[in-house]
Amino acid sequence: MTTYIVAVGSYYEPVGDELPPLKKLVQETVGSNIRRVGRFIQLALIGGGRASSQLSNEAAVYLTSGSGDVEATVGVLNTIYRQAEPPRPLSFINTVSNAACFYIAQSLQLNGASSFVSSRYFTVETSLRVALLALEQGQQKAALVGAVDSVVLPIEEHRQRLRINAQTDVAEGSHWFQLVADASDRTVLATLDAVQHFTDREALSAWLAELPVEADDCLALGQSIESDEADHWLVETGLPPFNFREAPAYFKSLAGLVFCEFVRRGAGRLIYLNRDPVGRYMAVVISC
Amino acid sequence: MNVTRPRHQAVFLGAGIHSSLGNGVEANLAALKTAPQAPTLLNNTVTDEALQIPYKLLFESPLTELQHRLYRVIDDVAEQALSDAGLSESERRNMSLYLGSSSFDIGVSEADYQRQLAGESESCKALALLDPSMANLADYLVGSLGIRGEDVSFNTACTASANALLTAVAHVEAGLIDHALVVGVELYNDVTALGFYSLDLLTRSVMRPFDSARDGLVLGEGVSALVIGRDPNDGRRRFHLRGGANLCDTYSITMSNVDGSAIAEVMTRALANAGVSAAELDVIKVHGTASLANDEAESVGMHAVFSSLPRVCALKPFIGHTLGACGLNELILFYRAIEAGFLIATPGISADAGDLNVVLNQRLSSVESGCFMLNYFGFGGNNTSLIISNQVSHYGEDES
Repeated sequence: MTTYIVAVGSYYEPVGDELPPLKKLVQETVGSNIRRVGRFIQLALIGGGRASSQLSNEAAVYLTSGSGDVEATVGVLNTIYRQAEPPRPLSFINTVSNAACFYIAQSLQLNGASSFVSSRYFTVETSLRVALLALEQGQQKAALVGAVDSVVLPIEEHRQRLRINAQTDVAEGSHWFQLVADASDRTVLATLDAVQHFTDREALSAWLAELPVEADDCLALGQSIESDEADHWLVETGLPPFNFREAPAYFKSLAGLVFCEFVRRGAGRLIYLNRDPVGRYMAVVISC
Repeated sequence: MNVTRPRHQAVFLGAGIHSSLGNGVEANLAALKTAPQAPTLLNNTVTDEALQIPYKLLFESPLTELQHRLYRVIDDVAEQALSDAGLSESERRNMSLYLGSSSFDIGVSEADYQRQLAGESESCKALALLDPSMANLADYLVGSLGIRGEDVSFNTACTASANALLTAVAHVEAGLIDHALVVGVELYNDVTALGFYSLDLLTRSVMRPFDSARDGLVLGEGVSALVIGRDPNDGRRRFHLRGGANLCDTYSITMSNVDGSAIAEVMTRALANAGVSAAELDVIKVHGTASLANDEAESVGMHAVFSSLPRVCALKPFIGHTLGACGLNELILFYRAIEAGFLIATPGISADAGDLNVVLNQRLSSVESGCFMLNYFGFGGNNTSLIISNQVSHYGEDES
């Protein structure tokens, strides 16, 4: 069966010493002001809301993040250890990552399944894989799949927390995809053809060798692939790289931005590869 | 590239657990035949010298060296399940990992932050939550067990490991993998302990779900693991997930809608997914947090689905509320107890219908085979209902 991408929604903003305000964007996107929520949930509402056109109220929500709601968790840790006070109830509740799923479901009036899923090096890939299989198996008919990463100031601490160097530009991102199993009454932007896991490089190479190459294919490589290995895959596949903008600023779920930009471009097929430090790989294939 | 894969029956091949009752399935089953015990009152001096938080801590595992303790316990419990399942080295290498938790390794981050704060100076500021990821714990297990399959971490509050199980079974049944290791983890941490203290949901006595005298929950530690794989068809009758459902209730982020409608809906969907009627169900394992409103919502939901309730049992009086791990902890204790020949009983707790009209099983009794519903309802309105069975099935025919 085919899984269709019928809407994408994104928010991407490089961050300096100040954080761009989000309240107005949330209100514009979901039509109401959601009170007492932090930046992570606001970002989720903006990205999710932008991908929610004609969304079925039975759609499942799959949210992922590279770092999770750092602001909420750091806030609670500081309340406990710096102020020596128990956390406020709602602050504690918002440390649970699926709090963002709740606010999305409530704002978009959804009552389907809802999950926060994650994998350290394959954040976006894993959420898409879980959603794709649920659609392929008929467990879900529609899904809103998104990846959110926020910045917690000061910016130097944010870089230190993420263990990136002081020169690296950082960004916030919220990138979402509306997937459906039946697109008969929808405008199709793309198809999500495959989200595959590979135990090692040889398994990926074998799979790529069987993949029929088309003239307008292009290759994108994930954040964990070093430049030497990137060259290897460009040579092995013979595909041109997908260049969508000058080097984007860093956030952990950058793959979400890559996929959204490719779908927006609206032509060709994207083959995306990523790896983790132990040498496992994942591939995502999207056709427009 | 989208392929139609053959569907395979996935069964429970092996289990491991370390809870407040004991370490290992057999130790836990032995303790389940005795009466539930009151919790330990744990001194938490971080915010108040006199604060005591009721807790069911892991059996014979002192709260010291938290990172080492966490890794030692999950390694041990995973090994219990893998040995029980008899997986070969190759099968272990290729299996995928599905981990559910509410707190993952936050206790490790807390200890690190406290260490930094103790040495904080003008030139060296302490920084909370270094290298954050919900999947750090799964990443540890991938390395520790040499897993080359995929890993997926679930954080959906009290339904986390139940949702991990749903996805794991789906992946095995779809033929994507031969084996899945599902892990539920919940260990002591200050954020959870003080968070629940702030919510004023805790009792110092034994939890009494659905009882007219219920007065709150006890937090519990628990780590469990379950190996899922294709049925080896060796003549042994094995438990399997026959169906399930997960839905989001948007009534409130902290409590279920007391009209029971969202809970009734997820149970109804689970029954439909499993292809069984309410009348065919033999036992319900309740979520049963012993809080006033949530037990009321669960009761109303059950009565909306079942014209008369089948036998009902509860696990939390024994092990406390193990939050994100309760999905797997309670499933393993429930199904292994039935395999061992008894249905869990909580004598004296909800012994009569009371204000919620729910009677919990009062004495150890046998159940040989049947269909069983296990319910879990969490913060964020995340509701999951599982239907498990040990009835012989011919997958693709009577249980497809």
